[in-house]
Amino acid sequence: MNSTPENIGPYDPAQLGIFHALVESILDEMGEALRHGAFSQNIKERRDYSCALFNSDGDLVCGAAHIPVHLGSMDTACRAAIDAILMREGDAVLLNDPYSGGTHLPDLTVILPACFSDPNSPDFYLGVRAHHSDVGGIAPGSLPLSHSLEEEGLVIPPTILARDGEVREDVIDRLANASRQPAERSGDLRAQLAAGAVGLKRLSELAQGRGLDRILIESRLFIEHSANVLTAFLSSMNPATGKGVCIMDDIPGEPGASIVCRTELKLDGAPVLEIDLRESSDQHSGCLNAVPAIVRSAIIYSLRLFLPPDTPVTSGLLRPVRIHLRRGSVLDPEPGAAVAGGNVETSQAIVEALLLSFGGLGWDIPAASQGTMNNILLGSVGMSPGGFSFYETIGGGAGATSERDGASGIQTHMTNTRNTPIEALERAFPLWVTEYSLRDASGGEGEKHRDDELKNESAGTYRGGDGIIREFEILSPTRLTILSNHRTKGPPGIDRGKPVYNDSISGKPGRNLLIRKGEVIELPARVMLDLEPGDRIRIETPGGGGYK
Amino acid sequence: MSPLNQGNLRVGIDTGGTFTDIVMVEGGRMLTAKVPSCPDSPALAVLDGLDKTGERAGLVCHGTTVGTNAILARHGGPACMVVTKGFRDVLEIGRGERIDLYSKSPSRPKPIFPWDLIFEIDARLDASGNVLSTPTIDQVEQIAEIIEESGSEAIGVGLLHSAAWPGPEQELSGLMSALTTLPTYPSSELAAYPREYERWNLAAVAAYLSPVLGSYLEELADKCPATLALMASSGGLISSDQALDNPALCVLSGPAGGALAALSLGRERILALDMGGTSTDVTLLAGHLPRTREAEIDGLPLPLPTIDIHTIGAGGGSIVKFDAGGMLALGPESAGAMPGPACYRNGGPATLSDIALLSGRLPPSHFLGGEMSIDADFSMKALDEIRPPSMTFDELLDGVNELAKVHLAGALRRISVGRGIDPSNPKSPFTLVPFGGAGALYGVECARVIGLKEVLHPRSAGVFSAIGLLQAPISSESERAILKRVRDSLESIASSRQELELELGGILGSWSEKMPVFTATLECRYRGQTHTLEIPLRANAPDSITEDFENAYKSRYTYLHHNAEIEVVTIRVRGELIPPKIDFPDIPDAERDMADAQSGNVRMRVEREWIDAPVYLRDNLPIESELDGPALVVEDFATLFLPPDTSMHLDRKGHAVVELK
Repeated sequence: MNSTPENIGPYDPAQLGIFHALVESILDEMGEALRHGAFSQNIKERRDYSCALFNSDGDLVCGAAHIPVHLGSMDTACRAAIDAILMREGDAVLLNDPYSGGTHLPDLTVILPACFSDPNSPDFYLGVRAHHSDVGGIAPGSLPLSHSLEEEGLVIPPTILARDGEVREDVIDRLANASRQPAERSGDLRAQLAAGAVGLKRLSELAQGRGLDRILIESRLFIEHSANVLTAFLSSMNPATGKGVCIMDDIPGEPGASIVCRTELKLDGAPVLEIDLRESSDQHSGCLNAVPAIVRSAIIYSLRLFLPPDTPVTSGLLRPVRIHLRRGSVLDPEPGAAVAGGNVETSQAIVEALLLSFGGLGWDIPAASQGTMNNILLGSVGMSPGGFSFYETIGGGAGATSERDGASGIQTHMTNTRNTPIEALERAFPLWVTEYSLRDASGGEGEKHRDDELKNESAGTYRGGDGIIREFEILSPTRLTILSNHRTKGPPGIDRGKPVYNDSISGKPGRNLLIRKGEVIELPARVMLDLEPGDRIRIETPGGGGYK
Repeated sequence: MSPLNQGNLRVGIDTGGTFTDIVMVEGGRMLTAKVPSCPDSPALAVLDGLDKTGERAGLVCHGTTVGTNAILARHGGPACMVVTKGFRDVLEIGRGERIDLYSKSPSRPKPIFPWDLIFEIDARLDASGNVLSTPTIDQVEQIAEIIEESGSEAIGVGLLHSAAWPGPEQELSGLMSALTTLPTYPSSELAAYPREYERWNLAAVAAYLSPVLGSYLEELADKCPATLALMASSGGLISSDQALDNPALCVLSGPAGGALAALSLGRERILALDMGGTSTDVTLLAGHLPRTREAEIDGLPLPLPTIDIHTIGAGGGSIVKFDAGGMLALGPESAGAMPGPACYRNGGPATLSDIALLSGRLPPSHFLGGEMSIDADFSMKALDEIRPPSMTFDELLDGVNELAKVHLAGALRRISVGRGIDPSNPKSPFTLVPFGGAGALYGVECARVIGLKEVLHPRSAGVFSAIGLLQAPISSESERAILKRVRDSLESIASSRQELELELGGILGSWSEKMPVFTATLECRYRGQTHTLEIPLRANAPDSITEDFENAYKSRYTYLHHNAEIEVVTIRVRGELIPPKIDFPDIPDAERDMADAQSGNVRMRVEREWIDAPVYLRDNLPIESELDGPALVVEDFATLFLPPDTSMHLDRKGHAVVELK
């Protein structure tokens, strides 16, 4: 049999495909173990988690098809854990510090070393990231309108969660005590550990069966492979420069942020894609700051859209890319700056700006999608135990493309979580959902709704998808947080390759409404507010841009 | 007279995409036949097949794809749906996630009903069952009128919280039914599943299939003198009336027959591998049919207890390709029946079948009983077009063969090791049972990859599902919500069990005077979790329930939550009338001679080498004959590939039992 590493040439495509299938099945199984073992709606119903495999340097070898904003940024978490702690067999490291491997505080990442040759020297690492529904801070759900990191909840730098196979209960207790739902935190974190244990077991079987040396080489080739796919794509395009901008909404007393992206494709020698984000706004006074890991994941995601369907997502997708960030800007903030909205909102804005800049390069881009995650957080006021925290993101319109209408009411770009079933939500929380529907005629170019003749008369003209209306009635005193975008200007449509912000081609902007005693009050894009029983909150999400 | 009398002859009829298979056992002989399926009028093929039984059938056990095809092609209806006001779009939005993570135009599965066939009504409960709004009779009448005008022939009804509080939904359904004289499908009667999208989708599917299934069953009943029993997705046979009460039961019944047939092979622990043209179904059978509530069709959820089958997009027609970076991939795209693999000579792409053909695993002369002519030159040409210059032809064959093995073994691992069961454990070894056209081409090698010692390739693997239909129990099942901590649940469990047995006894009483066999299972979870585990109800005692749950949980998830309480969510009772055991006749031994069985040699690619290996005709092999791999054992609709270091023996029933050394 041909199982020695010498026989694996760098171009043995068959063996690489086999390696991919084997690793992906391990990661899928980890995800299933996490989902079935978890306690919070956010993990078990919304599936807000990701699992990934890293090499001994912390490079992403393979991620299961979970959440894009996680996958592209988890390698940073792995490297931070490696730098901070000398991991050995039986260890697990926990972190959420955005300035040390994290992205925002609710995303808790567990990194587990896989030591097959030497118990003190990991050959691989496995990562399990899950969004926890509350880690403390000034508002339930831990995504507040904060002005500093410490307002957002418990900050965990890389910390030993298990050593020599023993779980450190004090670490779990510290997290649980910081949260508004201690039991749920502890159950979810244990489910993350269990998913890691499943993964380690399978990976060790793989190392034994296929040979450790062999999978070490294959993981390196696999990363190179995805770099090659991207390089092949870039080489097929013309050298060009492009610019894309996404301006995030201002709110009273707090300006938004603008993301400015200049992109240049150079083809002298090996292709290089320069992505310069230095003209983006200065560090944000509120919570829209995004750490560089988020920028990296937005770039990986956006590039991946242009590659063939089977292309693996690895750290290799950044190899032909040069990223330029400015320290002290909204995309590379100084430690301590608030970041709650960076992962969930600024990430979408980065994708919008990136794709528009790719359009400038002459690539066939889709019109802008809703460009926000419409984060809504509802929870009990105060920290008394037994309180609740509900978090969800709401889908919206997808942008039209040169070939198709955009989909309506769908999760776009950097997230792909599911909604919470209304029945599950109303059983678990003091809330009623009073409406859940598609928002008629909110997609760009949308005069008519759901008509069979959706397309305009002229050929090659497609309509953006419609947004969603989700309305809640509040049944007990509740603290609301909304983090959203595209409330003043709608997502741009595309006309002859250029972005257009007008009423007919761009998607309709979203609206956040408070209905109190019959009065309808329009709320800003980002808001934190205490609600009374009987109040209704109505979120109307943006439509996608049209395509001409 | 009850339809299950001993004297009544059972006939199994299984409708597939290409063929309709017929099986019966009479007078010590097993009769099998295949007639071409008739996609436009499937009843014709069934009646045609029934003709071949000489009108002696007493009970026709039928697996049908009428429901499945109506969903896949969206040609069901006319029908409509009534839901709680404000939530018409729930069926379109679904759970909101997109199918492809990375796509410029993300999409969701196409909903069953367009928005203008979904009507809203003021009927709303809260989670505790309090009525928040209730429709006026005027409103109900108005909607009934619109529905009649729409030409609908069935109505699905979905109200929020009806799984926990079914009263108002069933009342509304009754009213609608009385006003329109149409059949109604209240979601809560189909499944007590507490998530609105999944449960309403089930009601939508039921209403959508009702007219199609109704006319199909009517046509069969008119022309077929025998009693009809239909295979349901749960692995039991149901009457036409039961099927019309919940047409969604017939949607995922396809793989049930094969799983049942595998169960009857006399092995305690089985991994079933059903490999067809476009996909492969794998099932783990340890004495009973494993079941799930996360079944889907065409991306739409069907939360009925369904045989837990894991499907992967790798089959004989899976397309072989290289991506832009030069990495080899197999499927999930398939060449389908048309144009089919390159070797069919219809301009199809290079597929796994072409690789098997060129590797010498698929003798062209025996492909589909020799009825279909295939041409290896076309395979060769198609492969040459995709082969990268750095790779030799042999390397390509080796690579694809290995990739196929990895995909299949991965699926087998997922349903065994992935659920806490080690199939290679010598104390509780599993047997691999490959069937379907391509199952035995790769089955023995897969068994080796996952550490099994035995493969059983059944006799008549080509009509295996129909054989399973003969052995299916007539069954009916029902459930009640419990939602109590283990120690508080005992009374509810006992009383619900009694009620359910009474209810099921009534339904099954129309089939036979015999007492049904009842089995009760509990769905349990840690309080606060959503996902449940199903455990058999051994004894109604807190200790045994806790112990069984913890054992099941630990084996599946490797750990326990010591501080969390265990909760009983539902009790489900299944009543079964077990059919008289069919004694499959031994194969006739007369005039079988090893010399006749040998049919020359084939040059095959095995473990990165070309070797010559003998070909045997299975129908001529003498009983108890033994042979060693490498070899090919061929019959009309299936080929068994024996790699080196294996030996095979043909048992008296005609099954090929392969031992891996």
